[in-house]
Amino acid sequence: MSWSSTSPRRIAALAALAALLVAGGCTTKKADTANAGSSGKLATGPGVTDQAIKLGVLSDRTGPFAAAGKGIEQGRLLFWDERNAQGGVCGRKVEFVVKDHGYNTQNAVTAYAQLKTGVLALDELLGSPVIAALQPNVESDKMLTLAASWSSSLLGNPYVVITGTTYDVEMINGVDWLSRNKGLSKGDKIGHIFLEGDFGENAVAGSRAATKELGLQLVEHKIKPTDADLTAQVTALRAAGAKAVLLTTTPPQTASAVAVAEASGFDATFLASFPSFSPALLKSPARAALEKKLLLATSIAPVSATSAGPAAVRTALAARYPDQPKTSFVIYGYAQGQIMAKVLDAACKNGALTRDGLLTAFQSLADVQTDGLVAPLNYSKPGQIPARQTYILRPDAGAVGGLSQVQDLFESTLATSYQPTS
Amino acid sequence: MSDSLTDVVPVDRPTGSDDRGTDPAGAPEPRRRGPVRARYAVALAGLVVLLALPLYADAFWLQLGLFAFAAAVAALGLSLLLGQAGQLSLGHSFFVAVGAYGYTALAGSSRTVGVSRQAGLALPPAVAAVLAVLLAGLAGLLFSPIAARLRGIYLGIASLGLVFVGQHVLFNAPALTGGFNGRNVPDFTLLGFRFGTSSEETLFVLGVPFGREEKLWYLGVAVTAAAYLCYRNLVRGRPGRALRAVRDREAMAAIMGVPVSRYKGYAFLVSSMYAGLGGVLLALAFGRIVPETFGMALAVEYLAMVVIGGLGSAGGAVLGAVFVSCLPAVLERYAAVLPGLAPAGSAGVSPAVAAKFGYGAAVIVLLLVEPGGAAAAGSRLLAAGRRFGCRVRSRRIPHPSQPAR
Amino acid sequence: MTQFLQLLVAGVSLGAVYALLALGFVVVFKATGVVNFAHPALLMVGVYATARLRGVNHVPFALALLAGVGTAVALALLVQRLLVHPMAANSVIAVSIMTIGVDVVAQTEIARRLGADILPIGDPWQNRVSSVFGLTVPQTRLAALASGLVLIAAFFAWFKLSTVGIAMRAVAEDPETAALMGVRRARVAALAWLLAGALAAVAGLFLTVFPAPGLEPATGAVALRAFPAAILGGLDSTGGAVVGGLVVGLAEALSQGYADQLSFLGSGFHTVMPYAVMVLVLLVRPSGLFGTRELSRV
Repeated sequence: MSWSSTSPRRIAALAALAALLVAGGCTTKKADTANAGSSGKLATGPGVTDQAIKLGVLSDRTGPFAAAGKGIEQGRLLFWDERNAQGGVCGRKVEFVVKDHGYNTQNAVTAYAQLKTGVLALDELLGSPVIAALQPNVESDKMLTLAASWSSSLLGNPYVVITGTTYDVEMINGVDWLSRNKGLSKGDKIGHIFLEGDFGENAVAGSRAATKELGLQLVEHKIKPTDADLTAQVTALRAAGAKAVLLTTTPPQTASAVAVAEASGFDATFLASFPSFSPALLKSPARAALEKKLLLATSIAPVSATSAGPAAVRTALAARYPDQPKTSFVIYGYAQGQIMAKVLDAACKNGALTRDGLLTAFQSLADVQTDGLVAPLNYSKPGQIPARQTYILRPDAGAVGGLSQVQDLFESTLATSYQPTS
Repeated sequence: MSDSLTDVVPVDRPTGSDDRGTDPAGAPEPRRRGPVRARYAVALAGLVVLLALPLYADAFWLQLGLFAFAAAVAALGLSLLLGQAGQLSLGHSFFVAVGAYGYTALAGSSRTVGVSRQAGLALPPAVAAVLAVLLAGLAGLLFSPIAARLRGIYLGIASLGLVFVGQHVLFNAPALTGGFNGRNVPDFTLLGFRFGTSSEETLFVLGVPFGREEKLWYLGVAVTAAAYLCYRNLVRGRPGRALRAVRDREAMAAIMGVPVSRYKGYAFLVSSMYAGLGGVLLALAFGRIVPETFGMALAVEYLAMVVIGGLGSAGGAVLGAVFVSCLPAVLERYAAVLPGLAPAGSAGVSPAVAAKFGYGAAVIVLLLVEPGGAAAAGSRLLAAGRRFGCRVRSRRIPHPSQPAR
Repeated sequence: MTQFLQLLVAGVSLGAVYALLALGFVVVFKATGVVNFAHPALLMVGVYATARLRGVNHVPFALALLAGVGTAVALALLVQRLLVHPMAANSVIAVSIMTIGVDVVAQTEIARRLGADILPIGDPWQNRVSSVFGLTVPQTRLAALASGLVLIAAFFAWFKLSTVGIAMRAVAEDPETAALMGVRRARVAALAWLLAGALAAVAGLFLTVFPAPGLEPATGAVALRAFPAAILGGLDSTGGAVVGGLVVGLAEALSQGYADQLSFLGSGFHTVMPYAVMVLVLLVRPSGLFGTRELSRV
């Protein structure tokens, strides 16, 4: 057929044929009523078959937070490989569908669209802007989500699981400990260098509350993730006479700030939030300064802790990933595995391995003990901070995972009564 | 030979359909009817496929398509600005943000979220969308006097500054933008029809439940098609010629009576309106927008779209937009089928890493093979096809002066 | 006052690093008209090579640095020969976008190899500080300043006085005439990319030594800070790149240090500051501080 003899009639005929095919409904996607099904007495939701339960993982594997994503993956595999070998959950193996968004919100939303019909829940959602962008979807899809974030801005979403205390409570406990142990008195100044975004803003909300309560003055410095050199901020805080400096920064920024302070003779103690430290920092020239000046406030146990959970993780790590850096994110990933297993077990017992069933099971967990991996968690009060106890840790090149304990889990009086305002 | 960044059309490259040579009188060359009919047939077939797609495609493809439509509209704007008017702007994501946040704030309602207050005018979404587009255009118009003073790469980087300043404002104005936490985007409604998923009743089309993504798909098709046709009309008409004159020989254009500053302002106005419209579509595609999205990475992405597609060409802009916005996600989805990839968590090439390699390599290879972009490649193929067709036809009617082949 | 002087010193030394980055970027633009989006990748590759040789093979620092520079130069030449040169006759903007692809591939590979590690460079200055006029300045910063001065001076001497340097300037000013005079444009382009690689590697070194803990995937993003520095001075002026780098470094350091006083502009303003400065400068001098004013001939 030569194109030059295409007539309007031919075009119309083609169009009509195409329309007929479409209207004939040749294998259109049929309405699947939310993948509902049941096997025996058990109601099942999307991603659940007789052999497997599929959970989604939407993480950063190639972007700026790939290190965290990797650590969490190691923890996840350590837990679930063992658990699946023991029979899994509800007679089914737990499998993971992993997607990388590279910290790009568009890719994350697209990847989520792909995941949502095939998985029962999200075992990991990493990245503050990604979590922020997907909040309405997670709620409307009733997708229980283990978010890799500790921001209290997520508390309003009943489907988001926070594993640990929130950033603001970390800072409150930290400031409280500093004031009792580092001789801070009323009117003293402390500084807070924090990252723009969920992470930093939430932490600074905590430090504001704590300094107000204790009569201290807070000097704030907001920075961006691409600020590699914190000399200017540290210089300014030194000039302001700060006795302690709080850090809610990326690990390299933490090292930069502490190293500059040490080099310039700035005597203050530095206290950082959980994601602000990485054991890789202890291989750099900043090691001595970090060991001397830095403390960490977190509800995640250090890898070197003596309780049963961390000990098990250490053994498993040494066997499986002997050459990889042992970060606390592995502990975190392992703990999340335990929590998800508890949720799935409870849902199975209730006979509802569905999205609604998972939420009910999750909200029934009033006292979650993780063998000492994380502070005790209470998920039975939606909208409330699940844990309020933190450790105080310090960098220690001699300890496995680079952190050793200074103070065991404790909860300050302010932390007990604190309610986030946003 | 072109050596300057703004000499964007090399002299000997086969020109795209929008850059058709004109005779001195200004009328376009008479086209032959055959290929035009063929074009319409292809376009119609494509349209039928697009309209039928939501019946077959799953959520991943629909979501990806929504992002592609938004990118295509914005890319058309940048193609106009860069390809036709020769103004290198790296600030396109700023105008997209104005459109996106403009729609969200204008259509959203004022409410208190915790302690923070969010402002919104609660206008009807259709009105809000139009106003957002106009707002983006206004922003472009305001920027154009600055742009008029700058040339080439300087304009590019100054407009990049606009992106950073804009993002700074987005982060620091929580009442309007929700700050880093973002803000929900109100569903679009038109004449009572809501483009959202309703919990009470579901719309069924041929047995398929139509949710938000399916409904927005059709909006995307309509808007993109309208934007595309509008672009082609503009480019073929007087404004297009004036813009190309300004691009190629500004001083000469001024002498010939083209009001250069006015047309530069016009170029910015129209391209920013396209960007704003793309922003509205982008906001609807997301459902909730966060400031991180509208940064330098997005601005460079738009530039890549128009270059990969072919500068100045409408079809090229759309193709480039589809390429840049869809390829990474598609590669990521199917990378796992490649053999020999390491599992995530260990060192080695994981599917995600392989997908990124694939995307980078695709950009390199595409531009290496055809620096003029997809549009130039298409023209080359068409020209080759025509030559082949001519040769076939000439066998039947040998011209006396040519030896029979 | 001490704070101001301290910030001044920090700003100038940071500016020296930015100047090196901007210079490498400008050299490529001047000689070939290409906006090299792969500049951060050259930086990452060079520093990665240096760091690995130091950390794993315990090669002496000077040798490791040379090897790192060599690796970056090799990558730059590879890109230029295989990818840029075949496209040289065509639109430079297409080449520029192609360098984005190169950047994605190179940075993804480096990020994959780095994983969760932060690689220390093993430089000879470590975290030692010196006292200069009563101010404590890290030795790495003094080294950055010194190296910057030496390299920039050497570069300008070479650029203005040597035959090859003159050839490069000729190509930048009028490619056709230069070609007619016997200058091989391809060679000049290769040389420009070579220089860009070398300068990127050295600048990267100073971005990853004290006070930074080492090389990690986000280091590449810092290299993008050089863009406004380059433009501020005039993209076709090498002297302008240096001044631009210094201005950007100073503006950043001062606005970070006095962030409290500047808080009315919104927190985190220091990132926007260089661009704000740049737009102001461009409004007054549209070709940058030292760029050639374009004269339109009909």
